Amino acid sequence: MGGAFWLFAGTICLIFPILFRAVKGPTAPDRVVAINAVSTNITLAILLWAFLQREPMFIDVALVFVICGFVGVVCTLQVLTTVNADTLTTTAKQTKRGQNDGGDAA
Amino acid sequence: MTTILANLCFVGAFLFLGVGTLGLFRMPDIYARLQTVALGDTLGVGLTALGLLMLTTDRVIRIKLIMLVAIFWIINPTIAHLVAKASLVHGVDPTAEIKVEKGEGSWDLP
Repeated sequence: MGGAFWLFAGTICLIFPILFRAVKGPTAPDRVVAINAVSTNITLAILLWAFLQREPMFIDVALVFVICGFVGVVCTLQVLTTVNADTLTTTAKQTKRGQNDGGDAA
Repeated sequence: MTTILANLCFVGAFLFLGVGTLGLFRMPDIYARLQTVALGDTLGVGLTALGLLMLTTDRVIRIKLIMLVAIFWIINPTIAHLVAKASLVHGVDPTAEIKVEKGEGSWDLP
């Protein structure tokens, strides 16, 4: 049980350097990767907390957390694919909806 | 005996998570950082769940842990592929140190 506690402390401590990368990251996909790694570490922390506190219901919380993190990352990437990195404007060539919106806005 | 094996699994999990985090700072490129983080996190979650499987005896908890690892091992490579494709479409170029084959149509992503 001691090892589980130290791994819990280690996952909590690993969040802070990853958050530093999320703040510093030069491009937007860097931040997405960093936030995904943070959600992974929080999932592991919830799992180990469930075992340390002997609360089996927290494992379900970890399951739902994984799926919600996946949906959040996919939505963020859906936004990223319609934005150009150099100009930070919506590019018209990416999707059909982007074409229509870009034409109307221009 | 199982406690020692579980602690060894936890040490390995922390090692792989730490290597993935270190790769976030040592790698020159978004694609290389993505690879290190995806691989390290996948093996870290697997080893943590293996250690917890050794510590518990309840069958329902074991089924839930195996479900979580299965879902995570499907989701994490999917996220890695999606981020790589989205950053290519977004317009992030790889560094000049990494050779990329600019084949016919390889950059014309939808």
